[in-house]
Amino acid sequence: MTPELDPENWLPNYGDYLYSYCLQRVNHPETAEDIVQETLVAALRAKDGFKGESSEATWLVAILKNKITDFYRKKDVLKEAGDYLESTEKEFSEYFFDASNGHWLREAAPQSWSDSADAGLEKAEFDQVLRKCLEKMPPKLAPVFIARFFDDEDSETICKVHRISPSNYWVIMHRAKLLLRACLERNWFLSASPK
Amino acid sequence: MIKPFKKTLYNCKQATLLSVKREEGRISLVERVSLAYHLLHCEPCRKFIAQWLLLKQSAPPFEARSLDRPAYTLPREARERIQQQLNLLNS
Repeated sequence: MTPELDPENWLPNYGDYLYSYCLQRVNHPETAEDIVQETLVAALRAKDGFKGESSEATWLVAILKNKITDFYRKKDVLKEAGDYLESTEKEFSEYFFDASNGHWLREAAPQSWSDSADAGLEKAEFDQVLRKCLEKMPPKLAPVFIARFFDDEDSETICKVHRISPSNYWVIMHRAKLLLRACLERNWFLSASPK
Repeated sequence: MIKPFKKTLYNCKQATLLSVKREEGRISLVERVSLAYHLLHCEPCRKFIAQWLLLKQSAPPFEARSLDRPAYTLPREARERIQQQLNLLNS
């Protein structure tokens, strides 16, 4: 056995982390369980190929990421993304912008956040609010946004993985950013809890 | 609140879309100039961009904290099922 890997302790050490990572990206508990299982089985089979170039955790996450990508491909999560974006365009736009001139609606325009807003981002409570806001994001937007924002993948890779056009990518990112900013503003930056 | 301009090339909806493209370096020269012009006059859009610069910084520490304290717990049944399979393969 490779000395750097410790398969017997994978579940105790990383089980919750891998599960959380996965659940946040597939948003379905049973699916997340299955993908974690596939990941650890695949890791066990590939353990002789582990060169120790990265940590055990990083290596496992890399395998997990591939499994999540496989899942997206198989399920075609963003199938007909174009139709979806088109059919929801009006409703979405009118939530934020004046239909006549595209200007921010008064109630949707970004508000001033406190000067200490950046300090609040270090708090564990912020994580919960962020997680809630991500859970509320429409399922056709979240995977793309998470890949860009948290996994720092480039737009070309994301378009390929999710089989979406560049213009759909921009619309998805635009919407996700409008929604997440508004959600965080409402539930964190302008609510009583931060500081 | 929002200063109306007579003939803006881009409205706020388009300006915020362009800001997303600019952030990823995928913006044409014409779009870049239009966005800059819009931002000269539009405080809410400037806020939108500044706030996103701030929010972007929250992702890496969020991920790091998730490693220390996972948000969810792998259910016991699933854990046992997976462990059994691993034991089987590892023996």
